[in-house]
Amino acid sequence: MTIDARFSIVRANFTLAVDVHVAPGETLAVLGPNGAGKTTLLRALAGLAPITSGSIGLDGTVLDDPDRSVFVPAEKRPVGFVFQDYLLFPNMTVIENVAFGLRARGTDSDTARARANELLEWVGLSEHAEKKPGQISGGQAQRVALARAMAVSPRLLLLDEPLAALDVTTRRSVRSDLSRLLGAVDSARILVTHDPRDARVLSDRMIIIENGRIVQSGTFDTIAADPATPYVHELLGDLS
Amino acid sequence: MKTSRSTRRVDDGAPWPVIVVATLTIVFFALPFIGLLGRTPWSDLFDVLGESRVRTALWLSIRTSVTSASASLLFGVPLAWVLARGRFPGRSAVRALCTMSMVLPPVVGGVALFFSFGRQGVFGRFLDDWFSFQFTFSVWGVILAQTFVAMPYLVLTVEAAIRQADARYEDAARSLGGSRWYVFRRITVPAIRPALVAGVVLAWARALGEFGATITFAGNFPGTTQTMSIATYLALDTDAREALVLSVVMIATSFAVLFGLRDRWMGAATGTTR
Amino acid sequence: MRVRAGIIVAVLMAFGVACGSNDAERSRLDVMAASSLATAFEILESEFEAANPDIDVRVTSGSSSNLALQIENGAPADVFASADESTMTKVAGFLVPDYRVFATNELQIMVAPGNPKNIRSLADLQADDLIVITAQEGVPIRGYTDEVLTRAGVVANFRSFEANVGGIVTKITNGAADAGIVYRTDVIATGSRASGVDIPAEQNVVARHPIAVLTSSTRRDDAAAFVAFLQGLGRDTLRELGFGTP
Repeated sequence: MTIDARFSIVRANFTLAVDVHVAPGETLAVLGPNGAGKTTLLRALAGLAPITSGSIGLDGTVLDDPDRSVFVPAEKRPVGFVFQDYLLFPNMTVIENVAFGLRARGTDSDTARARANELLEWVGLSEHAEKKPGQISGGQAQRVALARAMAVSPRLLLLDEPLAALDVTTRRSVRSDLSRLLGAVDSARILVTHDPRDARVLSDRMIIIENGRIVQSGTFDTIAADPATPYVHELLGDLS
Repeated sequence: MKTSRSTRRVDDGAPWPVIVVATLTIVFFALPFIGLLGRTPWSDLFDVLGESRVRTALWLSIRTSVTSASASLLFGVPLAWVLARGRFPGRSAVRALCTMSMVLPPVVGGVALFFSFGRQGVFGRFLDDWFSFQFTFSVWGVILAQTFVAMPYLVLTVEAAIRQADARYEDAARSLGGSRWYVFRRITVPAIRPALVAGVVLAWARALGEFGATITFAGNFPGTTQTMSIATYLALDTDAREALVLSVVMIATSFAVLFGLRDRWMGAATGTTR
Repeated sequence: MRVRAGIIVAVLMAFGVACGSNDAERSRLDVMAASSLATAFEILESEFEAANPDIDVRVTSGSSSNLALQIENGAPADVFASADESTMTKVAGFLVPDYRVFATNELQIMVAPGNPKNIRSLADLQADDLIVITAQEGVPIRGYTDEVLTRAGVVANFRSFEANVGGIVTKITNGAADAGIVYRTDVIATGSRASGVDIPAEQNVVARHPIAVLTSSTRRDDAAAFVAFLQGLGRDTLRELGFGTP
């Protein structure tokens, strides 16, 4: 397993307790209602939110373990993160965005740009390299965000609602583009979404979180065949 | 068509009591300047500005206020960041402490500087013992006094901008491998650039106008500590003509700065402009 | 909430106005006094009011030159006490003739308590390592200082020209400056926070503090009574504070 995480995060009026394992090349979808703790899960894996107990390991390296006082900060983790709304840096061009991770790790400018250009070609956006994020469409921004996250060759790729910011008309084509691109990524992937259609197209396995706990896990078909809670039933009802 | 539409919009927009009071308020602010400009000896303007005493004060004011604004930027931005993002007990008390000089009577600020940085102050005495240096009567005293009263304007402006900036961009940058310092330089600072400009300009304008703390703490000597503001105040007793001309120069400068800043400041304050 | 805030503002404003207009039955007397006379006038004010319960004296202080400027611009005051006669002469057109010198003063060198720099004479003020300050031109103490130094043939290297005597006193009592020439009464008023070095009589000048009723006064009888008080019953107090009384 690439990622082995079994941990809890306790806050004033919210507790997240999960057990997540993903293999290289596998995509795990995380579904659940708003406030279930999906984004918090990703932030914990990325090192942006420390866990309260348990541990997070990646390829045998411990990233976070409060009992052993281990905490690898976000910038030291081999984790790529595609954020909701993509969060492209508005003051930089598209190619500067993609090159950011390499520059931050000390790669020289020419090498970083060359690598960024390859990634932009991969996502089919090299002709937009010198545009500012405000000048490209939502679907394009999503692909830039993916290229940016992949530039640092992460062993775990996190995607937080990568399709939620798009309007319905473009969603379907962007989803299939994303599916194709993710197929070429050999790292482990975790995709957070509230839309079961995303999960069905983009993931190999899925878990469903309600109120900070995993209520069901399995493939789309096994879960759809036997929903564990009324929420799951309603969520998948239309599609199965 | 066009005229009727714009007329209707005014009618719809502002209730008449608001317009009446707002007009009176504008008059309230305009009158003192009209009065002052009316008394200004325009024919003497260039004669007075040509006097070496005036040019010395003007040049000193420019040097010290630019230095104070730069010092405010250098020391104020980290403070603003800590106030906006830091999580520590007593943060509000620290903010109050660090911005109090903005509302204190400047003379009180000047006296407080005596007790800290003066030759017998808690800190100043070491400077005197070890380096035979004292702020009072030196240009550094002017800069210290100006920075003391001007920096809060920058701190509050920048702190508000940092609070309004979307911290998730910094998370994104860190997840890409940016150290906290790298992220601060490449993401945080560019995101708050309008507020930085506004903060620096406000601090600079305040430093330029600083009078009370400066004369109390630093003294008054041409070329060393006699700034435009001090020269203006003192000239009022001896040569009203000179005071008026100096005032006109300061008013013109302040107006130009605030007018040029109008959108940036509003943008930084409300977060509507990026 | 907004309505309540509005009411609070209105109440505060009304309160502020009311405060300005109480004691309506006492007639008010506005006295402008040079800052070097301010402490003395606070004491004299209460003594005068005790003797004249129907009069409410208000003392405004500032540098003589600044007060003169206010008078020239029509400040509604009744009495003006200046630190020197030349300032009085400048506003002669606004005075009920003629002004009278009600107190005299000597000059002293104000130094840190106990005189750590061992300043003994005006000539000592020429030392390079000494920080000597005075007031800007136009302020009476500056005129007196220049006169004294000229008599002694001393050229002091001033490091600052303060706005008034108060600025000189503050900087010496705070230890920022080492010496400055001020009125003897200023040294006495600082108590233990400063010491005074006498200036020999042949080098010293006598500062003469004049007082006059202003032509703009609408209460000239009260004003005259106040001036007469300073030259009569008030003399003891003035002497206690270190002034001379002609």
